[in-house]
Amino acid sequence: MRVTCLQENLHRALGTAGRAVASKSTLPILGNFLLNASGDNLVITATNLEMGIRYTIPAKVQEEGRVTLQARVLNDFVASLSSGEMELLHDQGPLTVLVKQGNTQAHVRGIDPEDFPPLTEHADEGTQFEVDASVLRESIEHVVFAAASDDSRPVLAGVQLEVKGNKLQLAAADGFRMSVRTVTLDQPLEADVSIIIPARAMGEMSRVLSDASEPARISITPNQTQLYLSLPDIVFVTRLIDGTFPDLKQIIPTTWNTRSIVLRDTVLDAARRAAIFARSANDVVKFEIQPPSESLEMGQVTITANAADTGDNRDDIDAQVEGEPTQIAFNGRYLTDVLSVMRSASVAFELQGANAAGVIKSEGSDDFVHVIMPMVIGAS
Amino acid sequence: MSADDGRTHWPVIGHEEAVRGLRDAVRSGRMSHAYLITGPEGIGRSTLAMALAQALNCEHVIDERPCGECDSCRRIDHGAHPDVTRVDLDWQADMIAAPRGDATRSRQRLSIETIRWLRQDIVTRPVMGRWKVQIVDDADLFSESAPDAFLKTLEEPPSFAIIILVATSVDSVSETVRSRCRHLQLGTVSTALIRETLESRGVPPAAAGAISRSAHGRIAWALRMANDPEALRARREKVEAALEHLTAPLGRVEISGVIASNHSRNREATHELLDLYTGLWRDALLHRAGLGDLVVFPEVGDRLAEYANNFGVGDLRRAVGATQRCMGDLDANMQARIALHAMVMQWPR
Repeated sequence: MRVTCLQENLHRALGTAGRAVASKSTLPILGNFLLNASGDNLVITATNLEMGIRYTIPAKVQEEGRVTLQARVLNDFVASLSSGEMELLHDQGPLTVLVKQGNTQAHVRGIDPEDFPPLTEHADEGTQFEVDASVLRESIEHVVFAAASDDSRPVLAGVQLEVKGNKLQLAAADGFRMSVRTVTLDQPLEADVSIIIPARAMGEMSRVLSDASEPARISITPNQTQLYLSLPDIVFVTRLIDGTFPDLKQIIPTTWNTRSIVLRDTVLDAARRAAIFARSANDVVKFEIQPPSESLEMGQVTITANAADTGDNRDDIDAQVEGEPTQIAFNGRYLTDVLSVMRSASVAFELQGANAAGVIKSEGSDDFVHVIMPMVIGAS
Repeated sequence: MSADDGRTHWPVIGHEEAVRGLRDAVRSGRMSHAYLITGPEGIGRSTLAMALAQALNCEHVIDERPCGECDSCRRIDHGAHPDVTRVDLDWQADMIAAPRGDATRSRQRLSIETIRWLRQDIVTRPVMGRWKVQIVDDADLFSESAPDAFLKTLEEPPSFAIIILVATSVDSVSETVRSRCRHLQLGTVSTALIRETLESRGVPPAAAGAISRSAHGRIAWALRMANDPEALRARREKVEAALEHLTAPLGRVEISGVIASNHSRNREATHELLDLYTGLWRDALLHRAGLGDLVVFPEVGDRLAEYANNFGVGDLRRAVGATQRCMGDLDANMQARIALHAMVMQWPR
């Protein structure tokens, strides 16, 4: 291998692909980048078996070749160089690479690329569709936090991706809350799709998408073993979880007795303030909702928290309230989690009473639904 | 090689019946979702498990699996196949953070964190092969709560997954685990077959004879020793020296002093030596209980059996316990001299 490329390109590629390098592994090669120089490109690949990232940068290839190099060493060394042209070549046998820029150089040792796990080249069969990269990233952020962090039910440690016709739906749930985001695709798909993607990989996928402005192409292998996300320079691959995701229709309440619309920023601020006191009281944050009445010109949502040893707080928020007065308590962390990822100016709380799951929606749109289980309100 | 001459082309020496059973299961597609392979250490249990993983994922036509040459077989052999995971205590030490202040246990028992890792891994679909295979070596060393956490997965892994547990004896595996697996009991390999195998791999006849005799049916051990004559000699010397310490009651206190003074410089050496002591006392206990075929140091079996006859089963059990406790104490940074002294004082004399 002998290749010349720009340091800023290689640095960016190593930084992005580095997210898939295995931090712990019994297989040393997973701690390495695979570098493949061919045609007019240098391709950097990393994988921890659950997911993989392949980043292609333009390069002058004088001699084609493949090599794997220790990820941290290569990344840190390349990061220390200045922008501009740099060169990688063999001068001590096929496993060692000389990395060179001006008067600076280093030998980085590697492992035979034979054992590097393949990021299977997918055929053009299977399911494929395109979705706007920023919409996809926002949708992932809308749901991924609600996935379970423990593994007691493996499917809940994943995000469900479903496509029916031209509706793409992402959903995640951990038994206490659930987030569902729907996106309309430009082109309907012929066959329905339903897969479960590990939540960790989904989080990395949203990071990979953060710089992208072009549409992202999603491909799912015909036997539903892997999902590929392709951007012009980047391919992101993840394994898929086998199993059946809970039936969303049974979880999302369809009716309400009390509906209140509040400004998102206002209720998020109030929830954050309440969380300070709720910290030492099992995170219980209480909502008291009053529709307009003789003494109240507008509806009101009162958010409170109190802890025996630290104190209590109260925020009275103007709201558009329909239906009956009610009280309910939520986990304060769950509230701030969902309110901080939402984008709409106003949010709607749809409640059926103190002991039934509450629904939070973006006001004026049906593309995001969040369901939270209530906490038990004490005797007060 | 024809398929019906009684032998198979699987890369497994001996264990013909088990191999034929597994080969037929692979061919007919009637696999069990979980296997328990038991037998003494070094007889080729893991080799059989790996061969099964290769046969399941091999790229060749079904009658020729495992071919041992395709990318899949080669990767499984190198431990570089993305769909085949082999877990044991060493794997655990590398992959799973030990619970705080509990570094020793991660070297002695398979923890619940390891089981959680396996549970999470098994639900993702295989990416390269047809089958996802998890091989759990040291399955008789589950920590107390680990088997329960594994039961649901063992009973009903995903349709593309097979779990293979490897253990020393079926009695050391809890009934709940055992009942969820198809059990394959492996015996030892005949000395003649070990000798033949060694010779066919270029080991000189005299050495092949000596190794095969002290192998006592443990083919994997024999191959390891044949590949590394230095290791064989070094091991013999270490076992002899350790046996001497055990059987010389008068010198024990002095020896414990020597070990203690070396301990700060080379903790690994102490650990290795205490491992040998534990193994020898355990063997003594087995000889005393008439279970001589399960011992790990058959090369000193006759002398150890004779020595063991001086004591009761209870004495020998205490010795095993005291030695293990000493290992734990040293790992917990107890003063070496005190820990080792306490150990030798509890050995029978």
